[in-house]
Amino acid sequence: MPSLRDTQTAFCAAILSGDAASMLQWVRDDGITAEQRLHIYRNNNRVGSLATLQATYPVIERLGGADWFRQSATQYQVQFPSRSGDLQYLGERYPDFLRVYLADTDYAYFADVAALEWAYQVVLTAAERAPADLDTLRAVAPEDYERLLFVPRPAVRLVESQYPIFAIWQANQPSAVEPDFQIRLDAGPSRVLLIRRTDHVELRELSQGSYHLMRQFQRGATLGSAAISATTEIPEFDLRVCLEEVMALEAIADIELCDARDNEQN
Amino acid sequence: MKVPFIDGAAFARPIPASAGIGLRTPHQDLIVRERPSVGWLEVHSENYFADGGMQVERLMSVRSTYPLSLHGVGMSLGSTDPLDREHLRRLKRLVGWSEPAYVSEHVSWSSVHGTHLNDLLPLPYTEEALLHMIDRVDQLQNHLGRQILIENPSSYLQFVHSQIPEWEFLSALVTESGCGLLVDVNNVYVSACNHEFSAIRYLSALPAGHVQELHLAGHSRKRCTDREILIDTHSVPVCDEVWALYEFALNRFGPVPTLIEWDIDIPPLEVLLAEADKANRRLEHAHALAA
Repeated sequence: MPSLRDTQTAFCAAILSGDAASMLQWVRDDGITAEQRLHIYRNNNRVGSLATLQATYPVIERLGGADWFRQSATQYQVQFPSRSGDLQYLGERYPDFLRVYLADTDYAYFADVAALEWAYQVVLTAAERAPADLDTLRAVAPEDYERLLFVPRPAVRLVESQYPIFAIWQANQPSAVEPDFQIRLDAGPSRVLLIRRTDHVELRELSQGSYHLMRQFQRGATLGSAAISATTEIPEFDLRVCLEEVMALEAIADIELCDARDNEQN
Repeated sequence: MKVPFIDGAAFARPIPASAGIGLRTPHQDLIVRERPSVGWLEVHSENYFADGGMQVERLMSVRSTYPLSLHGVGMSLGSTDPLDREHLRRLKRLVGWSEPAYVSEHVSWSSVHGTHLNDLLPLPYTEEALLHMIDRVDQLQNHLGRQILIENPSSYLQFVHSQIPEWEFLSALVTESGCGLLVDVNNVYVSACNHEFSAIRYLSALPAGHVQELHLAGHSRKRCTDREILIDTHSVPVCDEVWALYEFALNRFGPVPTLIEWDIDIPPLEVLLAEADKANRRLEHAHALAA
């Protein structure tokens, strides 16, 4: 008699890789063949996974079409089988999969659009934290500004792409009106901040400077080191303008002073 | 080891012996806004594992109005892999803030070698599997510090090495682990048709005093050569045969909280509430008999 472990291992192989040799001899064949019975589980697995991916990546399905999306979902499942009992995570590695699956094709930008859709899901379910009170800054002495840490709220994500992913995402929303212009893939990079509001997720395209500043804050950099980094990367960087833009987004949860040791690490 | 857990109802608003419905995404806003009259709500635990967000906030909002039952579909209790510690942590956190009357899972498995099939897969009913399930239910109950309910699965295959009828497997699991039973009447019907056993015999063999919740759902039919196989789809109304079996279950178990499950092709809320009314009429009859 096969052990429970062996039974489950063979069942999994029969569902995911179609290797049903062991299972066929362990399944009762009474009127309906073992293969037909296993096929029901295979189909349930495929349909369930596809439905979850469709719910997570509606823009990719719209861009690629239903048939292509179904094929890509099947391939994805083979290469990246689910690792969690919580379906929320089923599509976590789909952008990475697309990056390889569509590399060197005209559709390489799908991976970045998928990264945007995954970030949307993450923001949708992240912890709630109120935005920081700007009055906190009034209590900080000007000489300490460079030691300030701006900690982003948990329900905030940043996605950057060399493709115009924000425009592509917008044009493929159910409520979108058909654009009277064609989105050019060489239109330039897109830097998107996603933030959860009371009853929806907002996507906002940021300037290069503001995006860089937020990215540095996300990495735990102080205001001083974030400003140096931004100025080095972006000659026209204006700290005041970019910080005002970031604070107006209410994307920061905490403003705190970094102690000297942490500051050195930054 | 069998532990005398405090009944979950002691922590929370008890679930009345009436019909409840699942809180599903298409109806959430309407239920939050209008608080329709229904005995209680069921939710799939994993849908509320998130750290925050609108889904979690909606459940927080309605839990003051409705008694709650948490129904897990992803714990993979029957798996030979260790229980997922993160899954356990998130379930315990959810139980902590939502204070459900019941927490339930399935006699099934979903994962092996770290790979999840995200389906409720059948176990071979062997002594080994029984001892394994008793240990796993024990682990989960100890982790949560409360009794769980365990649900019979629907299945499309049986193993040649199964030695124990499913109803005996469930009865032994309940006796040895101290868990309660959630009897899915549609699952009994589906499996009975698919494996040609008597659904009446199945229900008659279950330990009546341990049955704390019933489920009703619709199924679809698929033709396999010269036979039909029933698929537990939760996508259509409860069929007449399952309503009849439900009446038998109420006669045997008494009036028990009953969930109308509808998870695919979810209809307007009034259709779901009309199905709940059908269950309520049968429950009222059972209450009258029990009085």
